[in-house]
Amino acid sequence: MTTHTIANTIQDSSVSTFLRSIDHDFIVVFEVVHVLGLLLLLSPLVVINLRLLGVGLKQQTVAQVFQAFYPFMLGGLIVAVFSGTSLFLTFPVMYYNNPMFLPKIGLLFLAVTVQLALILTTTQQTYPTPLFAKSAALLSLTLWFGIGFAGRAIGFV
Amino acid sequence: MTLIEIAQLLENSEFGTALRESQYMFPIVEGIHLLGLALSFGLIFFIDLRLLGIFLPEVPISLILQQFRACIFGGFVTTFISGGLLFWAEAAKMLANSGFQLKLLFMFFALINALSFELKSVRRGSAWLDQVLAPLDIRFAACASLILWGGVTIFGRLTPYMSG
Repeated sequence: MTTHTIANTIQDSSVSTFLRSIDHDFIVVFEVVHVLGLLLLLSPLVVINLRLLGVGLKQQTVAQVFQAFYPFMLGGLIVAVFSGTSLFLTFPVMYYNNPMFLPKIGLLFLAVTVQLALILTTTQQTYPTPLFAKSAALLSLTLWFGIGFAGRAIGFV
Repeated sequence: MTLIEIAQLLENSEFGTALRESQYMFPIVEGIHLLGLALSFGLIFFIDLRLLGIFLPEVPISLILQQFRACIFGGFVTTFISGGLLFWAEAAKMLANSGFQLKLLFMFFALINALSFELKSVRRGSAWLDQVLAPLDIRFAACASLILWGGVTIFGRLTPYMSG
């Protein structure tokens, strides 16, 4: 079974058919929620990564900043993934055929994996090696903002 | 010359047309406009939660403001400049859009609210700011900020779906 057949099968599923039957105005709500979720994810990431770069909240340790902000980050990710999945399910074949969609999803899996590895190594230490912490912060910001960019591009290609 | 005629001129200008028809520049500016929000509204969101005493109550607010002022300002400059460019490319269409009109209205009050907060904090100094729970008028301003900037973001995203 090719991935294209899978996209078609999802399109014909009852969940997908149900979502398409909903008023289009309601689907737009998912678009708004998706952006709000993205912002809730990105802002804490910015604060945590700036702290790793030595900017902002310097009186708090990296671990303290992480503790305070990661629940928001996680919440934002959950909201973005849930609303994004709902959007995808409305027109799976259309999204699958969009040249920016698969790169975005690939980047998302990469970012989640890399971020988990980075969190486990950097934020658990009170004083991570400056060079490692800074590279980790730049990598994390690049990946997550890259997803936002790829996502925005879906609407234009 | 009416406002709509000025908007028409902007939209039809060489730059406006080039940006609107550009295959890469327009989406890139859209992307910058969206991601700039993570620094502007995104950081304001946490400042407001702190003012309400919900978030990081043990950290003095003046310290947070001082450390993030440059980032927030940079975020707003990014958002406003990219937004201005996007408006340039579709000025007349945007002015006629009810989603965009509401966005502007929310933005106007959000900016007044932010300016009034700035003036108050300069006048009263940092001592009153650094209480665990900010004074009532400041908590009110924080709530207003959350609602107003939230409204700006929501109506901004709704703009392409509003036809008139």
